[in-house]
Amino acid sequence: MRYLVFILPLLFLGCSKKLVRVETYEKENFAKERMQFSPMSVRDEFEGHLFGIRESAVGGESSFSGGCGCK
Amino acid sequence: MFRLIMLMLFSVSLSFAVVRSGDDIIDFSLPNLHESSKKISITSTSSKVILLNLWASWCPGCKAEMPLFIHLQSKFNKKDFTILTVNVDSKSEKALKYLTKLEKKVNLPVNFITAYDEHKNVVKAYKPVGLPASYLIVDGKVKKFIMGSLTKKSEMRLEEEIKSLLK
Repeated sequence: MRYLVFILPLLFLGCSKKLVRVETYEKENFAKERMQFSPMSVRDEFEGHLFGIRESAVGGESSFSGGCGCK
Repeated sequence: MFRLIMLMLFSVSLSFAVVRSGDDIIDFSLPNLHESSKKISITSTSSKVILLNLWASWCPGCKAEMPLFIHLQSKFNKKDFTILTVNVDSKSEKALKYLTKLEKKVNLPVNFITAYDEHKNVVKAYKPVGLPASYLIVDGKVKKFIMGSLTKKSEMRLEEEIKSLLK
């Protein structure tokens, strides 16, 4: 019984999803453009520009403008 | 019971075993990326020192070190030193497209051997944590394991190491 306390968790660990290991070659899926936080760099710049204006916070990211929100 | 626990722990450790410095090489037979009818293996490479590199075209670190490989290979005779790269892309066309682009970029031909691992058997055997991963091989043994991409400095150090191994 005492050993079962050690063995059973080890056995059930095999069922755990946490043990699923992403193989090196499978990381290709992570490298795909659609997996990026910002899939389109151009759109990201534009959205950053709008965000800066809306929040009146930092400048228009990497954009130059007079603060009209247009581009 | 103790034996059973030890056996389980041993089997778990085996599943995470990776090829490191001092280990024997795991040979393979893969088609050449440029000419699939030709087979490539470590043992068929007659060089004294071999640099086995695992790479993919989607990996920025791998692409960063490719011009350095062309440079490094050009400094040695193929009888002495060969760079043998294994591509693990999902499609071989992606690797070919990248290598063509590289040749245009550096204005030099790709002078190292590239094999295409369609079934990912080499990566499964060597089990590197990530890409790129390089193995300096001498006399059927891994002399050095390099995780990550080479830089200009590390390339120079590697060149010196290869020269000393060839003496």
